[in-house]
Amino acid sequence: MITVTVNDRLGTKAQIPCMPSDPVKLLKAMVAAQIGRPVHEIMLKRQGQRPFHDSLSLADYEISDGVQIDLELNTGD
Amino acid sequence: MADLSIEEANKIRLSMGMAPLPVPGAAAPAGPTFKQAEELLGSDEEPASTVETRQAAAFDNWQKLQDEREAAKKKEQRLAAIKKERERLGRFAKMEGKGLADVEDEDDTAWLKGSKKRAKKIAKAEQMQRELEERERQAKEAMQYTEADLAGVKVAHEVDQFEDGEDQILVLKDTAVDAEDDDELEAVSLRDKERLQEKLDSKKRKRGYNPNDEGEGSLLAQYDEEIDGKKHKTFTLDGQGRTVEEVEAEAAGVKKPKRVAISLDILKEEVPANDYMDVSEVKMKKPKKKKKTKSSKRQRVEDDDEIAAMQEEGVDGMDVEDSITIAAKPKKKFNEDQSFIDDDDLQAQLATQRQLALKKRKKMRPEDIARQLREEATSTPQTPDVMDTTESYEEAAEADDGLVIDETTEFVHNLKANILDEEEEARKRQRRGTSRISDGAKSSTAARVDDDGDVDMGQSYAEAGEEEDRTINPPQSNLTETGLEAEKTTDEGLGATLALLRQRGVITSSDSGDTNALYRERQKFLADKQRAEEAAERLRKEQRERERNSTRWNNMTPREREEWARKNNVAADQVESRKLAEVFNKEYKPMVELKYVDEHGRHLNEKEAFKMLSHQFHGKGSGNTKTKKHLDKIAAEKRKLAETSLDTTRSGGLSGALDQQAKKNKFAGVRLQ
Repeated sequence: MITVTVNDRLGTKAQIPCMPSDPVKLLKAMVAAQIGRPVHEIMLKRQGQRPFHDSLSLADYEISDGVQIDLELNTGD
Repeated sequence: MADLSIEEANKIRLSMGMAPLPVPGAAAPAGPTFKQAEELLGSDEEPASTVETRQAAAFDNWQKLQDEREAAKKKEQRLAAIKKERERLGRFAKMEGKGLADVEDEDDTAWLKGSKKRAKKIAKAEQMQRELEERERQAKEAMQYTEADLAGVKVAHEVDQFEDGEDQILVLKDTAVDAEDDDELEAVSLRDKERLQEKLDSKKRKRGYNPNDEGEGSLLAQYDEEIDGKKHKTFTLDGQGRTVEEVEAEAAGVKKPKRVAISLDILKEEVPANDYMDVSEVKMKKPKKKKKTKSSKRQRVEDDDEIAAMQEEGVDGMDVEDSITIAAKPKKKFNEDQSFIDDDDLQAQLATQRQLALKKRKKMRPEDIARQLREEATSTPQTPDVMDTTESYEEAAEADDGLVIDETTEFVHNLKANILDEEEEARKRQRRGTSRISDGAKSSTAARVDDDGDVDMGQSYAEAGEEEDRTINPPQSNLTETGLEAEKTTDEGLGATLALLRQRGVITSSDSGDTNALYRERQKFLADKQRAEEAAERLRKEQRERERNSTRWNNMTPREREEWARKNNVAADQVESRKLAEVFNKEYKPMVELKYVDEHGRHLNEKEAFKMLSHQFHGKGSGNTKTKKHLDKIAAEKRKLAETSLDTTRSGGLSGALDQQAKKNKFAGVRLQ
């Protein structure tokens, strides 16, 4: 089990427990439950990189214990 | 905001159909958890091709690694235990043999007795060793392949092809496996050389039939090779460092070609070159006691010519002989070795030659020198002539050297132009005075003589000389300052005028010789013609006189006479005209020259003449400006003709040319020569 930190740089920061094999979709669902924003409005990405795809797992993005991920507002563009 | 708790997370996960997170309170499985490998083994995928299979295989791998480590550890432990045990046993094992402490109790006699035995033992061991070595050596020899083994083997080359001092590696020649031939050796490099030679030979055009060949070889010898096959020259080794053919030849009594002995001492250590003579080599000569010989020897060196005389005298027979041998030796040497082997030899030869030349050269004696000096003294009167000639040469050179006109000389010239008149006057006055004096003294000497006959000694020699010159040849008034020849003037006659025109370049006299010759020829021709005509006339007159005196003329009527005269005249005219025509054909050379002259009296060149004719033909001349330009040009030409070429005050003439030249050459002056 790993703990991932999700942070938008506006004061919202959350620690999410999950497994490396979890898909990004699950992480988003858990983030949505934590911060109260619908899943489709959540965009997760590493800083300076492209946003994560829902279908890939956290291990695919090499997300391990204690990694911090940026949270942005997905406008659907 | 509180972090997401695991229970809540598990709820979400379960709702999404994912496995719940392990709760910390529950018992965690030992070691890392892996997927089950068994469930994936059934699939037909390649092992380790996907992440899943790899992850599944991971546990097995891990387990294996762990087992191996365990096994290694156990083995190490076992080994350590064995070692420890052995050491323990060794520590307590009893030492065998004799130590220092337990020496046998032997006395000297026993040791002596024993020593013999020991010596025998050592000798036996040595013998054994030697025998062993001998056996080994024999075995090795038996193994070796020596030249004795090569007996009877053919070599596919000529003996001469193996040059001395060159290693050749012979290999077995390629033959078919089932061939009956014996083994044959050949050198690869030599074979290549032969092949190349053959190729080159085949390229050469062979002459089939040589009529000049006198019965050498068979008929159509060029096909011998194709019919009989190529002859290969071989020799056979006999295993004793010689060839079978050689031995046979020797047995048959064929003479061997002479061999040239070559020294192989190149490896001998050479004496290091040293510029200084070795002290040990120097030998001191004992001074000879005979004084007589010494003196005679010195004499010989001084004057070799006296050798003959000395020989006659026979003062010292031995010495004379010695000198002769010395003189004869170099000559002999010359004849013997003409080819110089070394540079040193050459140097030695040259030295002897030089010595001979030095001896041959006559030694100058004081009497000779004195005579020579006397001769020189007598011949000195000739030298002034020579000096004169040289002086004249120098003068000529100076005269040739030309005059340099630059800005300075120009400036001086202009200054002088003003002073010139005064100077001239002064000079005239002086001349008048001197002439008066010379009249009074009735002598042509230049020295100024007073009324009492004293010579003015205050004068310097130079002045006196100058004055003398002046009196002897009075200064010519037409000398100019520039040193150039003054222009001629028209008041001196036709020749001067012509010269003037030539100077100014109005008349070019380049082809004057040619035209002159032509003119002369023409004049001569005309004169000759005249003379011939006169002679013919005279002849006719004489003939007429004779005829008139004859009886026949007296008997003729006037009409007949007239007829007769007319006939005669016609005949004479014919003869004359024929003669004239002949002369014309032979000698007359017409000289045609077209000259066009315009209204100003100028000679026109081709282009201008064409222009003029064209204008005349079309009845229309040039326009206003062109005409004006033309007139200006003519005026300028006239002006140029009028002015002197040496005039430097105005632009144009010589000074203009000088300026132009100076500007062109970028020098301040112009060199005239």
